[in-house]
Order: sequence, then C-alpha cells, then structure tokens
Amino acid sequence: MKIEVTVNGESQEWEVPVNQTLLDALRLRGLPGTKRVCESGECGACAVIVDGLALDSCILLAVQAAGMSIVTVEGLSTGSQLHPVQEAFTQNGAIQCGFCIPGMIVTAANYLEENPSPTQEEIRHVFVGNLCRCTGYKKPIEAVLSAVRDDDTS
Amino acid sequence: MRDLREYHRPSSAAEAVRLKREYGAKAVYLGGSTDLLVHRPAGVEAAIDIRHAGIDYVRVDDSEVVIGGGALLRDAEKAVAGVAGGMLRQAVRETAPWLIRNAATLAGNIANASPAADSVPALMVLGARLVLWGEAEEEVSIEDILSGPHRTLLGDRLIREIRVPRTDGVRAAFHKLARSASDIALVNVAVALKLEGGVARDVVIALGAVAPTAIRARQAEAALEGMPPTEELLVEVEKVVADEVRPISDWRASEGYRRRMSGVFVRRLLSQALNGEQSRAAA
Repeated sequence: MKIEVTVNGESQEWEVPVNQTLLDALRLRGLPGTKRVCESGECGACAVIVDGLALDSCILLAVQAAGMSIVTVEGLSTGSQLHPVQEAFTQNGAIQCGFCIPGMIVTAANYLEENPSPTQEEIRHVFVGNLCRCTGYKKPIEAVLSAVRDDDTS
Repeated sequence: MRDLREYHRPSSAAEAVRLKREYGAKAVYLGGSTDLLVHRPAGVEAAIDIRHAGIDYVRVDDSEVVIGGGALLRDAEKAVAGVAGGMLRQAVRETAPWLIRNAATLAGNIANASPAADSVPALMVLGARLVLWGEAEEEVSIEDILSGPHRTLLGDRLIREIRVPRTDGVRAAFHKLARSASDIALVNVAVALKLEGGVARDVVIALGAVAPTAIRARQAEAALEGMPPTEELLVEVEKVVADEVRPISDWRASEGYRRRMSGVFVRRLLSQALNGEQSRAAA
C-alpha cells in the first residue's frame, strides 16, 4: 500500500505491506535508532513520536501512520546540536549500553513537551513503559531532571 | 497478522460499521492496535481504523462524562479526572504505561475483553453504559457484551461511545494488585456505594482477573446492601467475595492467592470508600 508520511521533517512516499509495523518500516529505511526488542509494546525501545505523541512503533502498523508526522531519535537533534534531553543523557552518564536509551530519550523528550517541569515521581511514572535490562533507571531519571533544571536556568 | 491485506480509514462511524458488516469476521475495528498487534490473530484480512471516524471526542458535563469510541486512554484519563473522586482516572492510568495510553483507546480496552482489563471493573461499578452502532443504535452495560477471555458478543457492532454517569454522593475506590507498575493485574477490584442514614446503599463491587470476564460480586453486594457497614460486616463480605470469585491458577498467581486477595481488597476498598470523600456530580 502506498502512503505518504513525514519523517523527521522530510516528506516521503512509502510502499509498505499492510501488515508491516511502523518499527520495521523505519528500520528498513535506514533509521536503526529505533530499536527492535520485545515487539509486544512492553519495553519502549521502539518509541517514536507520531503526530506529537510518543508511542511504541512495534505495535503500530505503518499504514496507521499514513499522512502523519513521525519523529525518531535521529530527528531530535538539529545538525550536530543535540536535543536538551540527549545532551543531558550524555552529561549524566545515562547512555549506559545504549540499547534502551533511544526509546527513553524519545519518551522523555515528548513528555517534556506536555509537562516541562515534571517531578521525579512523574518521570518514573512515564518511564514505566521503558524497560532497561541492565536495570539502570537512576541515571536516565537524573538526566531528565537535569534537562529540566538546565532549561529553567537558560 | 500475516493474513492482513487491507487497511481502511473510514471518515465516519457509519462508514466503519458498513465496512465491518460487509467483511464480517474477516475484519476488525482498529483503535490503537496495541492489543491486536500483540495477539496477532490469524484470519484477519482487513483492518478498519476508527481513529479518524469522528468518534475520538470526550464530553464532560454535570451529569455524565462521554468518551468516544476512538478516544485515547490519555484523553479519557483527563476527561474522567472529576468522576468519583478520581477513582476512574486512577484505573485508566494503571491500565497501561504512558506510551500505550498515547496510542490505545478506552473502547479498545473494553472490546479486547481481557479478564484483567483494569478500566473495566472501575467502569462497571460506576454504571457505565456503552452506545453500540450496528444495524441499529443500542445502549448496553459492559457486562452485557463480555462473554469470555478475549470474547465478546459485539459481533459487527462498534462501540461508538462510553457514557459514565456522575452521581451525587457516590463513594468509590479502585485497586490493581500487580507485581510491577507495568504488569498485568493479579486481581483488580473496584467498589462504589452510598452511605444513607448510616446504611450502605447502591453497593456495587466488581473484580477482574478472577473469572473468565470481569464480574460483579453480587452475593457480596447483597450482603452489604441496606446494612450498617460495620467492621464485622466487612469481614463477612470479605469471606463472601473469596467464595464468590472463580479464579484460575496461572504463572502470575495461584487460584488460592487470587481468592484471598479478592476478599482482602474488597474489604479494604470498602473501608477506604466509606472513610473517604463522597463525590459531587459536578465536582
């Protein structure tokens, strides 16, 4: 099925099988930052932003995103300028092994649009859908809190 | 989903229903797809995406909250914030993590008919009604359409909207017992009642994950109805609930544990509701 989507600001025309997930459609088009892990909406490693809302791309059909705007982790930075959440993750040693991190960054970046000054409790609540197999949640949560603080002082 | 070949995006609920009636069992209504793409049922050849069918509205007024069949859990969560002291908002939030609430619909959580769906007992005790569209429009309760694990009597009918009444003086509480915040419930419990002249009225108790569908604990409701809700009576109600539920053992919890926790949480929630604030219709 032929669909039109906007990916990281660029209009694209895709020919996709109806049963293909958005995750597969993105990865097949050279965007491997969106990770394939549980493929059942449990772990959040495949989080992307579709029309302004972060969601699990492994349990969304590509065709459901027809006509919509998709932002992947690759699209958060501007040139070599990292997104404040990406910057905060690198500054706080929150990159860890890196596998669940793109999903966490996409989730946090999108959540901060909705709630620019969350409490630690609110960040923990949002990260319920982002699993880290190394169980390293402390530094990512600190990183998001530091992104919030840096934003306040700028 | 290997059989899925067609994707339809109707621009009205009427068109969605027409397509479903045309394709029958070969087609499914698609909300956020967060359950469908996990279960991936064989034999589904067409998906009818109802997210663009003009039913993604929520309406809040003094007497009820109406949640369109295409409305996301995130939108439902906001709309029901003032219902029954926030009990329904809590249940919707605990239904799924934020990433899922951004994609899944409340109607989908009902239609998926998981025995453990967290929103369902909460909606049941508040007397939520479903407006269905099929051959004709009809209004039913959630109990009317649940027939087993992941089974409903919906057929080709679409959940067009969910209507949650706002009743003065209702005391309500909800609890999800699960191992972690993102896990499926071992047991979930919702209660609602009024206290009038020292006796319990309009007692409704519903539980999930302890029977093939979410259920009302009608014997327990009857044991409390019209009675002063003393500590002794609540202990009796706890026993009635534990006898009344029909859980199974699986890798999440044993039958015995679910039975025991069903009683314990009904008793605790009744206490909590009785000691908490009563709702005001237009709070």
